[in-house]
Amino acid sequence: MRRPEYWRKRAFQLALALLVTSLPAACQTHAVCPWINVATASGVLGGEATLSLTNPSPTVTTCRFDYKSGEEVRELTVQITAMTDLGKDYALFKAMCGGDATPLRAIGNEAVMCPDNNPGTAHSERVVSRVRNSAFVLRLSTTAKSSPVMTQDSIEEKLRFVAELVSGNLF
Amino acid sequence: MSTKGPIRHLASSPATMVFLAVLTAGVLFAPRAHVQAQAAQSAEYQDAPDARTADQKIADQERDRREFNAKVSPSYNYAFGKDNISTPGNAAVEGPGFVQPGAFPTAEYCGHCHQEAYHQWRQALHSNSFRTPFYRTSVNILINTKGIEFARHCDSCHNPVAVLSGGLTEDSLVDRKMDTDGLTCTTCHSIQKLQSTAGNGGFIMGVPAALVDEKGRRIPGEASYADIMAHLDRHSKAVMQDIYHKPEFCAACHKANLPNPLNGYKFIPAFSAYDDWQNSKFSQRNPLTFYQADFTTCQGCHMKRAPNVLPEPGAKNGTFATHSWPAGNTAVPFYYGFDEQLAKTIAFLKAGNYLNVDLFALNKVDEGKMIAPLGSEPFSLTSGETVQTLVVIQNKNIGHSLIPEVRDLYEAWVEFTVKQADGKEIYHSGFIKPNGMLDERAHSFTNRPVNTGGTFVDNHKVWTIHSVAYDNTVPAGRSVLVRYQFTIPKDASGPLTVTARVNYRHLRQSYLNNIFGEDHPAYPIVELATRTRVLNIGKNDPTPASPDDNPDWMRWNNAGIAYLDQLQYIDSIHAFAQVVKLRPDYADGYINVGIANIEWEKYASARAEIKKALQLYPNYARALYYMSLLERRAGHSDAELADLTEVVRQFPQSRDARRELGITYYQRDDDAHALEQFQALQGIDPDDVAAHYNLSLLYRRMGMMDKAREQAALFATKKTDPLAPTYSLAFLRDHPEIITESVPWHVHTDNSTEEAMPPRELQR
Repeated sequence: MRRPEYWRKRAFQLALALLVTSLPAACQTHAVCPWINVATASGVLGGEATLSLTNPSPTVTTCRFDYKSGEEVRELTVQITAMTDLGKDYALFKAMCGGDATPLRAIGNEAVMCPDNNPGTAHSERVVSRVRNSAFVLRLSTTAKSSPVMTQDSIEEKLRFVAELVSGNLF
Repeated sequence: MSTKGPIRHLASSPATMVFLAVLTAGVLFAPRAHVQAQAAQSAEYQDAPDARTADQKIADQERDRREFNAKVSPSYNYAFGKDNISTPGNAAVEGPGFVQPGAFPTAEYCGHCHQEAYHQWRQALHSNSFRTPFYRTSVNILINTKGIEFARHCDSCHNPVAVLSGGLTEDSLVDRKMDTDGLTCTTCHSIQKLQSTAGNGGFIMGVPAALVDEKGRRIPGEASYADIMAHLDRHSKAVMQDIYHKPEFCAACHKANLPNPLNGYKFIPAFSAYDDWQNSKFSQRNPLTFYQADFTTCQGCHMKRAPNVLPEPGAKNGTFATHSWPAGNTAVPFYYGFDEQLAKTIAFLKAGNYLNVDLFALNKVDEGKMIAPLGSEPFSLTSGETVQTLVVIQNKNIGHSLIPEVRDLYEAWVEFTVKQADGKEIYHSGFIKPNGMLDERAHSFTNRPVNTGGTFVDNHKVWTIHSVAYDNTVPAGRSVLVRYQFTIPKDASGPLTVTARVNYRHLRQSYLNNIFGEDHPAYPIVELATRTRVLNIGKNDPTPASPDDNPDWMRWNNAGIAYLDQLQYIDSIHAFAQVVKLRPDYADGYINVGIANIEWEKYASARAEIKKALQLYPNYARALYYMSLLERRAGHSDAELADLTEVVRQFPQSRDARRELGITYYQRDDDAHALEQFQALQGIDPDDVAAHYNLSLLYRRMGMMDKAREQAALFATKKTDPLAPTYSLAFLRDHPEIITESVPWHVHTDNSTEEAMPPRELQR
């Protein structure tokens, strides 16, 4: 039987090792998207989503949720921009959809949906909308040509749901 | 047994403490797994019977719920105590902790068979109770300023599934898919009990079930359509309860208060549509109403039966109780483009003879002469003279106040116009300005809640409300008198067309601006009731009544009621005396004269009038009630007791009679009977301050100190803050344009400086 000093020394070494290996996880900031939570995004993507939160500029925040299922990558992006000149700035956002846009009723102050035409995706849709002076752009895509939970119709339906949720949180 | 050897050393060593601390930190800071909330739902609503037994389904649900709780509870913010998942609201669910949102079958599941109900519900307010910008804007302010846990107050009614599933906490782990369905089918149809009529979500929900088993046990979750079709009686038992037909069911959410945990201040009553109904003629629970009517519940007006268009198994004899719940909200259907719901709402508001607008009298100011009731008396008008039009607006057939509920956001007002024959406007009050805002000097039936700074609480920040500067709503069955004074131009030609109408807008323009900014479309304005009279400059003969006009005795009666509420007792007595003259058989006419005399503290005159009513109807509860008050004042305690006992016998749910009978017993030192009355009163209205006060005294006398302390504390938080009027006065000082609205008797004029006319107008 080993002496107590031995166990104390082993335990200390183990604890130290764990401390060192755990520090990155412990210090990592827990990302929260203010407009849609991970659980809801996971429901939209049909699997447990990973969130990455970025601030490309002081007035822009982007939440990107992705879920990988084998080869398929499903992605939901929520980008919020605080506009300083509503008339000028929002015209630029609306131009992102162009002539293919379908107006969406009862989303924010105004909203349109259009194909996203995102290279590398099989199905992709975009919503451009605003709540007062906050513009938001949503994108939902899948890389799979035939995904049972991400058909073109279901993508449009899911994106409308997300648009309503995001605009509700922006009001 | 003692711990020996290496384990004991490990447990106490510093190294172990570091190890455990690190382990804990890792658990706390590592990204958390989220909860898939929809586990219990099936998308296809399987047609084949479910092979699982009821026991297995119950066990499965309990297991899923335990697992869900284990995931959600650790990160839930129990700000108001471990057992209070919905405080500051009252929503509750049977069983321990939270219930998983997937336990609620979707509306689509129900709509598979109940197609008419689903179609109506989708456009109705209940399905949109959470998601609308009108709601979200104010609740978001609460979340962003105080914290999401405070939103449990609002969402106990607006989104109970989110509250009861633990979704209202920081960085929630719950999928918010339920948000788009608000009050879904299985929220209302899962309610098993009511806590009381305190409101704020005062219900107890069961775990949703589509079937009960042969023993009557609820089988949680969806059932296959085949099973339901095979056991329709058991489906009905699972989803229908007797309480759903009762007004108390509606009270669970159509009554609200602002409790201390929300505002950190004290209990403040918010709205009371249920109390309004209980005090109205439609409840037949209140002996003191001015008029009588057939018993009608909330559902009787807002869930009327109509032929169903789509298949609906819930229909009986070809009609279905509407799940559109038409009421006053035009904003939600307007925003969502629900044209059918919007049309139903407008039709509802215009139907039902809810309001009566009466151009009751003309006061010829220069001569000091009153012509009343207008249309029945001849008179003449001359150019250049100043006249005052007395408009009586009767809340005739609404089972609650005008406006009900959220009086700071909804907007109803009187629009009054006087036009010459050539269309030229002489006077216009209650117009809409180019920016969509209502004329500040309009007579509106709104209120003005204020904060401690004396500022109008805009944006519905209800947790900051400390006082109400004025409240011009009209209680059910009562009337209001609005005076408009104008001068007929010297060059006026042809007859004058005088119109008074009551308009309604959902919502107030400034609130719409708060939500959308100022660049939103104009929201609908609905004319609720109107009356026009044409006045000749020169001679005016009596004119025939229009079909919607009240008979003259009722016009006088309504004027008397309005004068009474404006504290103009002599004019009130004069008006009620005209009622007696026109209807000597009408016992209430005498009682009304008596009431005005009681208010004026002329008790002998009051007694004489009440006696006349009792001669007509010896056991008339309304007369007995007022006679009991006169007997009390005269020191005739036995007579007082006899009268009130009879009133309570006839109206056991009368708050006023219970309260007064309790006081009678209390004054007779009959504590046991006094206690009985105040307990009954509390059963009728859990917020009655007289009940709290007297029960605290009675319990103390009886040695029940805990109960006495509880009632004393409730009294202390529910009684009006004596400092509150100072906040109202601060607001009124800053708003001279509407300060007259806080005075019961006031005049609207075509001049910017409104001068009050001397009272006692009917005596001249």
